[in-house]
Amino acid sequence: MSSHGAMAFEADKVPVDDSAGMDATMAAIEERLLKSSPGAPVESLSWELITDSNGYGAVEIVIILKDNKRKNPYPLEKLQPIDDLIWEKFVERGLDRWPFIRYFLRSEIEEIEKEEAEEAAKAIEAQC
Amino acid sequence: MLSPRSLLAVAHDLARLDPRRPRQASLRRAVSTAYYATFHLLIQTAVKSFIGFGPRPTHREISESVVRWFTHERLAEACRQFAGPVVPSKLRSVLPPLARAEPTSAELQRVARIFLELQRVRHRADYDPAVRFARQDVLKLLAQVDQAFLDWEAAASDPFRPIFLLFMLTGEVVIKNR
Repeated sequence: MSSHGAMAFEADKVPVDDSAGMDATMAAIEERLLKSSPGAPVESLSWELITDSNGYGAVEIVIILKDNKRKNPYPLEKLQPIDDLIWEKFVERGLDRWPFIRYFLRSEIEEIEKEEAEEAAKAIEAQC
Repeated sequence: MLSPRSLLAVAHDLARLDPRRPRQASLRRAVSTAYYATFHLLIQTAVKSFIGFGPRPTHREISESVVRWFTHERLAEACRQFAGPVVPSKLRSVLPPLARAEPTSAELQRVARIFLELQRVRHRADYDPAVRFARQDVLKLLAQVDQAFLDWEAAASDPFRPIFLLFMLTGEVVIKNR
């Protein structure tokens, strides 16, 4: 695993308006990952500015991966290069937000949507 | 004392339950258990370094009591100081000259980073019913925790590790107003 360079953790807890820098950085990351991911194949990516549980500014990045042939999760070796690329871009551009990166398989997203629909149907049924 | 390795093994078991359709409860407990495995790994190292686990019952009693002095927030503060290769300037300014120039080891940085990640995910796993977990994500996190356990041992020779351990108790207060 590579080292991630220096994040600037000395600034205020929540950075001043950094939305332009974030937009540009995330666009560059998305372009790179969709074109040729250094690890597991990426299907799509979304992100949201958040505050972490200690009150620090952060960003949650959700990466949806193409299912692999066996529909098994990808090992860390396939995901670490993606993490490293994201950290590298954040450090390069001096962003003062911690990137929390979450990974889902396409089939897992479908499963979660199905579960949510089932739960919603049960809730409606219980009300009737 | 709780065994951090046993806790981590339980986390792995939980994450692999129900191969076809994992239950959210299992994945949430896996995350939470992995967090506590790491929390106890760090705390037990600190207690062992500061107090030791002596042969008398009093030793054990003191050690078990001191374990409770550590807080989640202080551990996060310590991790923030050591998550990058260069310790932040406020901390650097209170260190002797040689240490100011020296980078922290990659192993210590990785431990600090994964702890912060885990703390956030665990917070969501325990308190946010709206969040959905997926096995892919949880297994990746657990693989990182496995690595962090190895890194923590490898970082034993890092001269910054004792400072990290001290910081776990004091937090940023020791470098503020200096």
